[in-house]
Amino acid sequence: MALKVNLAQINSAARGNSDLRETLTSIHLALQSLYAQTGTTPLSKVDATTAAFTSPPAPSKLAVRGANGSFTVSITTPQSAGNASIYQEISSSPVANFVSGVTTYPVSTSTSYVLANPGATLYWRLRSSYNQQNWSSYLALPGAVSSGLVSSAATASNLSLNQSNYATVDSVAAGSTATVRVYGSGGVGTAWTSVLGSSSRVIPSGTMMNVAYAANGFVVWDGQKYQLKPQLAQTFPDAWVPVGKVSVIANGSGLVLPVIHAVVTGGAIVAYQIVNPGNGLTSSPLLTITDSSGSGATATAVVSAGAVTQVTPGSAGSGYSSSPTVTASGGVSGGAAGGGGATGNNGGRLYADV
Amino acid sequence: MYSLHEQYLDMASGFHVIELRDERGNRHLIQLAVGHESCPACGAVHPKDSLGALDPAAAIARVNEALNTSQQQMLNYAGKHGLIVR
Repeated sequence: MALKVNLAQINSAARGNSDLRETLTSIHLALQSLYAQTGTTPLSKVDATTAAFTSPPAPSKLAVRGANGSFTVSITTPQSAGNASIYQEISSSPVANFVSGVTTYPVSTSTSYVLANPGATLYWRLRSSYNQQNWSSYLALPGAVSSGLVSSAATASNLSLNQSNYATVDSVAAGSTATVRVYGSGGVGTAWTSVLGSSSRVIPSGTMMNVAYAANGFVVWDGQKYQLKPQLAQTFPDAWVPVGKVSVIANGSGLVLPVIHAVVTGGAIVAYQIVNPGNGLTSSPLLTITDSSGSGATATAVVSAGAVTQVTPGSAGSGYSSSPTVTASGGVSGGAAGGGGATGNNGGRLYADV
Repeated sequence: MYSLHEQYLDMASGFHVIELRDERGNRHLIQLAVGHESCPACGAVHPKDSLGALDPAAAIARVNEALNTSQQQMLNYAGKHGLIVR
């Protein structure tokens, strides 16, 4: 904007006042000199707001890299844009000319994206705008980019996945709740070694207290502490170490052998009634059936969470009276000393069927 | 001998985690279950109602004593058989 006041207007305004005319003229000349040097009007109002850009910005640079099932998109904005925000719209297509299968991603001023799309090979293009109305022409990458397949961060290439945990996971009664213990071959309180492929690590021992009786769970080492998860799949995050399954002792009264009655029909034992499922059992107890007259019947007890949950009849036998005697014996294997009957000792091996 | 190294409450797992260490750097974790995880199937959370009777200091002392008894037994064993301890 040029100055709108000229010397003739100053002379007219001064009306013969030479002092005023000379003062105004000197101001005018000084302003003209500044204008000539800076190209701007010194007396124009100061306004810090950036003038709105309406024409599209110069093309940004687009780079797309594919790895681990994701596309990583990087956009470099042109220097001429200064601090102005540039809206970017990226789109992809499985064909080079973008005539079909075009996916247009949400417009954003962000300059980097990670777009998960495993196993895809796509062409990419970009257009830019200052106001989301006037867009630049599309800038398309010359070739297609493949995202690749997802790989697990937990496994290195060519790594054996055999995992052996030399840990013992068991549970013992402790008053109104149970205690789950994780320890190594040296006994309670000793660290244990987890071997995965050709590498191994030493993990500290642990004691989980105040665990509810009869809780079944999977113990996992998360790098800092143990966690007790109800489902095996919950122990699989990368960098976690599944330790073992534990069937927490059923109650605090220690080992109690089950009480089982036989149901006799026509001299044969056709079923069994579990009167008391027992507690603290770590293996199936041996069932011995005795009677004053009958013989030949066999049965197997199924143990879960330290108690008998089912008795499976084998041979029905013959000649039994109405009340044969079923005697349970054994029922303990492994077991750790102290604190009541121990159960759930599985040598630290996972045995879920997955 | 084991002694208290640090302790904290882990909200994610619901455990009061207490770490004991001995002079060789061996670690033993005591974890007091003070909270329930939400049900993985339905998301329901059932608050524990037995925390009033829980005595963390007594639990720590009990486990610490057992650990040190076990450790002393091992050291006695090493001494009896002339083993180096590391």
